[in-house]
Amino acid sequence: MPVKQSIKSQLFDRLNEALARGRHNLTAFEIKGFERDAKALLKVDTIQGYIAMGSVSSLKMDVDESIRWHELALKSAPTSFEAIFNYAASMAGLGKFSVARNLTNRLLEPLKSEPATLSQTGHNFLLSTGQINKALKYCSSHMTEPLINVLTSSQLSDEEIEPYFDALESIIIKSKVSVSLVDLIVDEDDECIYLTQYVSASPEQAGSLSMELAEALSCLELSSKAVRHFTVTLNAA
Amino acid sequence: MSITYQDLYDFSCSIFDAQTLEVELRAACSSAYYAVWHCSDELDKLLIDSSGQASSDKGGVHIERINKFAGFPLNTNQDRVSPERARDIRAIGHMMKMIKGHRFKADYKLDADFSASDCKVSIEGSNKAIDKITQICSLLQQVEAS
Repeated sequence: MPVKQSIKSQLFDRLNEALARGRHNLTAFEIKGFERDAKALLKVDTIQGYIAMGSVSSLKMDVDESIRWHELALKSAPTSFEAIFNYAASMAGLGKFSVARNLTNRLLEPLKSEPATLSQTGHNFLLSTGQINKALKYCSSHMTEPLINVLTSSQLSDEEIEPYFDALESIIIKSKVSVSLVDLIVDEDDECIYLTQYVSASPEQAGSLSMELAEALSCLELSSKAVRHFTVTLNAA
Repeated sequence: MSITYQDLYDFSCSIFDAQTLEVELRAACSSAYYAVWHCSDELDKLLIDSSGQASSDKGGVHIERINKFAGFPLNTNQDRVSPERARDIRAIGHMMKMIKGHRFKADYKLDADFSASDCKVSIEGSNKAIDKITQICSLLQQVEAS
């Protein structure tokens, strides 16, 4: 006999599915439904309710509200993996990569002694915030051999990749688009890593945002290694 | 008979408009990249004259030219490439690299999903890069002529 899922797991499964579909594919009605269920969860499980409200607020593209709810969850459960992970995921989705990266460090601290323990979701999350070498360390089983070869030969650090995400962050926040997926391809011949961020935009808007990103990058003093080996591309989700 | 970068760009738009198959989308994306690549030939030649940096004809010529643009020095001590123009050249390099990423996926990652969005973003990006390249070439040519 199938076991009835709890309100919490049902809601988080649906939220994860909605995040994977992309915020722009959700109707106002669906988001309202998530909000109603998150409020119901808040009455029976405060911490999980805070986390759910933070995630729903990120679906609504409300940065301040999302931070407020996630901070409440963190205050109640400062070391909770779920509280930190979902906070970081919401921030990454809203393009606040620097906040997401700081949260990730808290997340990875307990895993220092046992690398390669994060899931595929954790792997994608690290990539989406530009922490490719961290993803390699903690999720080596999800990494392809060509990527490892390029990273090894280029000796490209996450710190050298960070400025690309800082430039991307300002564009994503200004244009009010959200990030839903990340894709990574490696050109072994040219030793290039192409990381694609999928944003909630039309292809035309994504094309314009790509040019904005290129212009923002042109003003930065990027390391020659990063210019040679790494780029972020934008695409419409 | 010869063709121009514009023919390649128009071709990619026409395949995209008529596309029904993924292979057509991939072909359109590839043509869009080559339109930008050939459009940048003139800029590359102009920059050989201005900065003394020539792209070689060895393997990896594409990435070499792109990196030359993306890492163009902001202060070349040459009047015709002001820091502002140097930033434009860098932006062209970054843009070409982004479009090359889409093209690499289209031509080499046959097992990856390649959607109409992937293709359309490439075409839009190519359009913007071509505009910027022709604009900067025209400025550099004007300075050279004066």
